[in-house]
Amino acid sequence: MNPLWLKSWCECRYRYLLVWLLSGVVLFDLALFSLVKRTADRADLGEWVVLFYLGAVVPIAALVLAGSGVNTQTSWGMAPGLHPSTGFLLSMPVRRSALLWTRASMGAALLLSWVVATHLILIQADSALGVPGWSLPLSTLPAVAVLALLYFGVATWLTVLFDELWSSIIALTMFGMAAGYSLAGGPGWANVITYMRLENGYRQVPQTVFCLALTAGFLGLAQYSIRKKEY
Amino acid sequence: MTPAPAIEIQGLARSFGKVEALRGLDLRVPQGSLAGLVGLNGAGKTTTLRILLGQIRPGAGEASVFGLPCAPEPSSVEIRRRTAALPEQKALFPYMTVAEVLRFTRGFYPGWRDDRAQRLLTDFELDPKRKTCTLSKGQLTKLHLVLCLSRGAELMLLDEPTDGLDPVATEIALQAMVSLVAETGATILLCSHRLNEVEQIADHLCLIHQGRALLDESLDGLKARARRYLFVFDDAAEKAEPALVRFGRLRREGRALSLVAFRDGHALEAEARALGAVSVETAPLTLRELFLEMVKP
Repeated sequence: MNPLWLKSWCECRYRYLLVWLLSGVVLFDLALFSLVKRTADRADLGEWVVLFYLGAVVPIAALVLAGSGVNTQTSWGMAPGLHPSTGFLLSMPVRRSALLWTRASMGAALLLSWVVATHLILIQADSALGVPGWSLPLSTLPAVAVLALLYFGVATWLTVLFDELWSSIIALTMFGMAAGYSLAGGPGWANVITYMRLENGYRQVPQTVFCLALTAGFLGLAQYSIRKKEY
Repeated sequence: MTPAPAIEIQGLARSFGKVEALRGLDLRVPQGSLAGLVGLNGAGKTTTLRILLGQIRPGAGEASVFGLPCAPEPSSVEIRRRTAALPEQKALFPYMTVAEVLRFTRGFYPGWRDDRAQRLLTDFELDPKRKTCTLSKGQLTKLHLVLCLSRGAELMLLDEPTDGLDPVATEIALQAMVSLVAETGATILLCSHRLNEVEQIADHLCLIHQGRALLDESLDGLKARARRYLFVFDDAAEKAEPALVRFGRLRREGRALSLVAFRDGHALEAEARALGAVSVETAPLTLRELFLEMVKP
């Protein structure tokens, strides 16, 4: 096994578990609503759960799984500054871009697997819990996955520029603003929730291409920054 | 013919904001040598090592290892492929065990020596199953030494390699370094504040002060040349001061003048006698005395 993949897996495994715990919260809420609310109220509350999932859980999952590959991440914490093992890593005979792309590939693969699995679970939960009319249809899965990747690209770039604590604060602020704008029904391309749910006549293919291009742009910026930055 | 140096640095300068860490550093570390890199805190030692590893770029000047420039990434990767570095901060990936860190490092170095790693693990009493975040400072240093000495590297850049080690482990580490140089012809640049250890094993000395090299030569040659002289005069010694000060730093204590000189021992002695010295005593210097003499304000 390539040593960088081993390192990336070690950094991601507990974070992946954390992301699953987050989605567990969503499923717990769904189950709770289906049990305690009258059928008539379930649709509205279930809607809010889905919005919570799309507007908060997906971006947070992307943020948790993002990492620059240069600054060593701990399993759970967000220590300010560079981890003291960074000097050891940078003494290895490997390009910085390889550090970045290995870590990004691992994080992105885990994020996508989580998005797909969670989406499918939510669809199943819809029928299992008897909550009508609010679930995410399968057709929206690509849009959710692509937007999760965009969040991931932004967060990866930020972790190159700043340490994990500051990058998390900045990313959460940005994602929170995007979610707030979207939940308030803001019009236009910046409404990420209407895009993820393919509402308001969104055409999936051009929007998806646009999001993927933007993601590639942020990862390219991350690569440029990592080469220029002095650690 | 003199072999090409393992490390060659010319006019290296680097600032961090308003702080000038290096101000035109010139160094040349011969291949196969065990060189000590010494200097006060903030003298520029760690900055030099980081430039050699391509972690930071020089502001001016050139640094090369094995004839390869350190700044461009492709040659820096090649340099690191042939180099083992023990960084100033000894932490390792906190989520890995000792065995996993060994496996991680081994993956980058085709010349990895499993037998040497196992022997050093045993010598240092390191448990392969322990997570690195549970190791003490000294144990982390030991693990770093295992990682460095087992890579089959041609050059080792060691920043405080005995930091936190007990005397037994220190002795094992120093002996391992000496053996490695003798067996493989590798070059070691040993950056340390422990001058007695540098004196014990180094054959070349680089002394940096305020970002410049004050000394860069064979340690044996330096110790043969550098001597402390004590001149005792019949009457006041201050009359002899102006003539002797060109030989080195002078200290006057009553009728005696103490001087550390690096050259012209005979000429110095003759001049002192001509100036009225009735007694001349000389003594060799330890590295610590030499260091203090060179850098003490």
